[in-house]
Amino acid sequence: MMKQRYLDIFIVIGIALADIALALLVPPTGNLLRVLTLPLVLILPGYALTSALFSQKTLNAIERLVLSLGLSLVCAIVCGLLLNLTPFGLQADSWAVLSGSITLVACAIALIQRFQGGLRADESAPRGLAFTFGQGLLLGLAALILCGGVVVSTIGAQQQPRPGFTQLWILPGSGVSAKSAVRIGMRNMEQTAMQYRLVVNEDGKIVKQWPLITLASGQNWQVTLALPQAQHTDTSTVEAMLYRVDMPAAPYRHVMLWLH
Amino acid sequence: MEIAKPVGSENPSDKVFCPHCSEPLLPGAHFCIGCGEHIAPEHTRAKAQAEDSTSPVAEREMADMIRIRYLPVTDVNLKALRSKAIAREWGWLPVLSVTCAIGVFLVALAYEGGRISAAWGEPLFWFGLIAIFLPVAARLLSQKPARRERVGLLVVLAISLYFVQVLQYPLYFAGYDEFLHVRTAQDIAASGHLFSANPLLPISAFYPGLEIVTNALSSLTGLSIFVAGSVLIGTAWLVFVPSLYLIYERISSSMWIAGIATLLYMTNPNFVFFDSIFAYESLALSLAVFVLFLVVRRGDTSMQPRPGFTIAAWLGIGAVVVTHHLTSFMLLGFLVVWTVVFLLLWRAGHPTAARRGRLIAPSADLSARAGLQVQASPGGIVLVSLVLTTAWLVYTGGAALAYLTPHVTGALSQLVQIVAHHSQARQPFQSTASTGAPPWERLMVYASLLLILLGLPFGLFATWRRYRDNAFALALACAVFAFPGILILHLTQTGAEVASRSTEFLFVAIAFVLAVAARRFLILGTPSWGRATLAVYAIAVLFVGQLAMGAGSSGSFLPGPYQVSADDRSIEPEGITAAVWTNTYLGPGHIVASDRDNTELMATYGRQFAETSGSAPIAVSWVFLSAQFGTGVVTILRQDHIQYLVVDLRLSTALPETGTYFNNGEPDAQHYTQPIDRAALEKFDVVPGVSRIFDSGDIIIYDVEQISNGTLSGQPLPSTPVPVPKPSFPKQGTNEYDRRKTFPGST
Repeated sequence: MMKQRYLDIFIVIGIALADIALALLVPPTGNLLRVLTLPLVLILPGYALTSALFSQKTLNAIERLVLSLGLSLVCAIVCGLLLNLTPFGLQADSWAVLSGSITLVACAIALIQRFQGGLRADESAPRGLAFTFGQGLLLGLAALILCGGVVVSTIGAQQQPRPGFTQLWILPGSGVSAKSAVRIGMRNMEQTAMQYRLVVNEDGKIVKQWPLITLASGQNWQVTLALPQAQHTDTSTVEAMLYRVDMPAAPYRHVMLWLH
Repeated sequence: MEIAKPVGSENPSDKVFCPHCSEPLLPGAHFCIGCGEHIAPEHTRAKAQAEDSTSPVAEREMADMIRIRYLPVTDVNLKALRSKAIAREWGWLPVLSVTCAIGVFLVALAYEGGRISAAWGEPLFWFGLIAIFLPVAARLLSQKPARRERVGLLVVLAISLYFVQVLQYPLYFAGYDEFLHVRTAQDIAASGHLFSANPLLPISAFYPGLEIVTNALSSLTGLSIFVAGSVLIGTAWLVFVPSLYLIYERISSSMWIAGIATLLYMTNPNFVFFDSIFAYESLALSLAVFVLFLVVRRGDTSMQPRPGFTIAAWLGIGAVVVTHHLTSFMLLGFLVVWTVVFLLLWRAGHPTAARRGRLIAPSADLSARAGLQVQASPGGIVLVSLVLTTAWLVYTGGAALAYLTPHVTGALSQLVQIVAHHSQARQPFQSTASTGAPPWERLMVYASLLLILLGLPFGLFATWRRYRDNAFALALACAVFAFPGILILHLTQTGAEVASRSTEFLFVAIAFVLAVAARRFLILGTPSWGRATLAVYAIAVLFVGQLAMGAGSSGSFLPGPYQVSADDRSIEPEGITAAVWTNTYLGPGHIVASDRDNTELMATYGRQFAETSGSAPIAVSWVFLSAQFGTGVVTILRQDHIQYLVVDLRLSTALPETGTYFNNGEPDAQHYTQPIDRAALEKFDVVPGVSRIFDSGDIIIYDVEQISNGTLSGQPLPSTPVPVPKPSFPKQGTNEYDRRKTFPGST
């Protein structure tokens, strides 16, 4: 009975500590473990605050759920405003420390109140969901169908038929070669591999051409091209014309750069 | 072991009857099995037993639960019985969860049909929606479900409808409003601080509640802003729907009315496809309803200490105030109306209420002297709301007022012009680019409006009869009177936007009043299958009609091939990759001008300072619309310090779905009869000094910095008109707050 009286709070403390450790020790990018810190924003602070603020009330399960989620959102907004005033700002570490601290402090208050008899054991214990096997099976089936819908929609969106395209770009060279070189690049975003011919002119004269560039779908290509005449004139134009090998007559893409 | 048996069979003389419908009650029942009405404890003999202080709490709770299912309280195994009782209370929830999931699956298939332009997409979409909504509606109209089942059904319905929105574009944000907030979220992530200037929606930076929570989720979990935002809005809905139910249940003392009112709220035009998007209003609305729940619950006389609810309400109001301007104003407005009604009732010493012993009193002392009970009242909460809303307005330099005032005054001005026959009323369902909504959808819209207009008088009458001593219910009834005004605003171009944004607030009141009307129609009248069937049909018409109304002029919710200036249908890989290219190769923070949809992409995927009519001194549309590259265009480029122009040649292929090619400030907005001339878009190709640095076929990016910074001296340009400069919004650098603003990543 004694254990049950504090069980939910100890669980919250345990998860909060684990989440704080995860947030501080595990790098955020590309690590699925970090998803486990979700409760530190969405549920733990609200549950802890609900336990601390409403220790002498008997909230029913729906009210407890609403208050836990609602107060968590409210708490996050208030925390964000406070973090903005600090030099650390809104970063993962500062979020973990502040949100975790609020959760732990609220849990401590709730424990003290319960210890002092503010809440009887049975009042603190959330009521179970108590589904029968058949009901659980149906709910599982519903979740499965829902997941099916998500999969259908996601794959459908990824494979939506769209016209392909090819990007061609030209920029001045970087640094000291800004006026004596150009960077040219392209990217094949067509549905299939493509073969191109690229011609570069400076003031109307061909300075370089690539008769055959083959790019797989999604592949990039880029080059830095030194210009022979650029430093000798005040203003010049560099033009890149991209042709598809299967349609050699008309330029497929066309970019042009003014150099001063 | 004693076997449980119905209480009613014990002793007929012990029976208690429902004061509302005269249905025999069972001892300790909280709700009537006949009409679903709340039963005051004094109506049941079991009250004394339940309040016996010597009885263990668990046993008393168990006793309450068992009584709901009409079983005797004996020394049977309470734990096992409790589990069985709870399981039975779920009723049809598991089965209806499956039908909802099937509905969502059908909608997902319909979206797939839309993507491949299949004709079956549209009918399947509506069939899927009906499969989600109608079975739940029919069940909620029944008097049989227990409270647990009702709340469960509403939550399942809300989750299903949320998936309907999310699955429309499951890979990225595509809604116009969503991009506006993505930018603010990106700025917070980049700088670690709030209040960076947002070129897409300057006001968004001043109300960062949504983006703060998104940042917390995103930075802690490593999830993208899209996933974090979707999880956040889904969670907000889990707060919103049960809170709304609990409010309605408290004020109506009827779980039937609460269930139907919440269901009717879900029929509002914006519920499925607007209140669920990644926008500040979606979160603020949930928080506002949460606050109302706290205030209503705070007024519960059965609990003496209530500082917890007060503190939570204060914090909640603070969160609403920093999340969305309009929602905070609406919340304040409703609390004021509620207070006024409350004071009027108190001053009048309402005779009916006094007779019932339920008169509202501002304090326990007063009520004790009057021998009356205390009911919920906003009390000091309204003052807190007023102070916080005003304080935030002052802190942000009145940005919200500057943002909202033109919308309201514009709507009223247009309305006056229509009344004076100086301009024509806006034609609903008309689109500049397409034929608009199909006739059957228009019919459903009108039918749904007719149903609401017919139902409201009955509902108001019933509300007055039943809740005339309940200040909250009467405040809701007062709010309903704004509905005709909102409908009239739909006749104006600007007003339609205002009216559309007001609907989700107004429906909190409309849903309640209609539910009260439905109660009189269905429960208090002669019960019949005909009436029940009619009610199910009416709710279906309301749902479909109002949803179609929310679709706007395009009349379609399905994703599909690219369309010109169609917001979500204009967001596609070519535009996205062009924006990503600018961020990768040009770097972030350049001043870029483009059309309506590419502006959003450039500001978010591209991290550029994309100019809009709101952020630029002169509306940029003229740069693209002008047939010649002349002095007028150069003036705009120089005054707006534009570095790059992003030209989408597809603009010349069709009329804009939204009525405008650019954000605002274009002369023919909503009145285009032919697409932009392609030559006007290609005019930059031959301008000396303008570099064509990027070409992906449809999208061309020009470097115009040499023109805008005046470093190029060349041949004289033809003279073209210069549009009148507009005051920028918000006024920058006018106060200390503005001066502290930074722009992360600016080069």
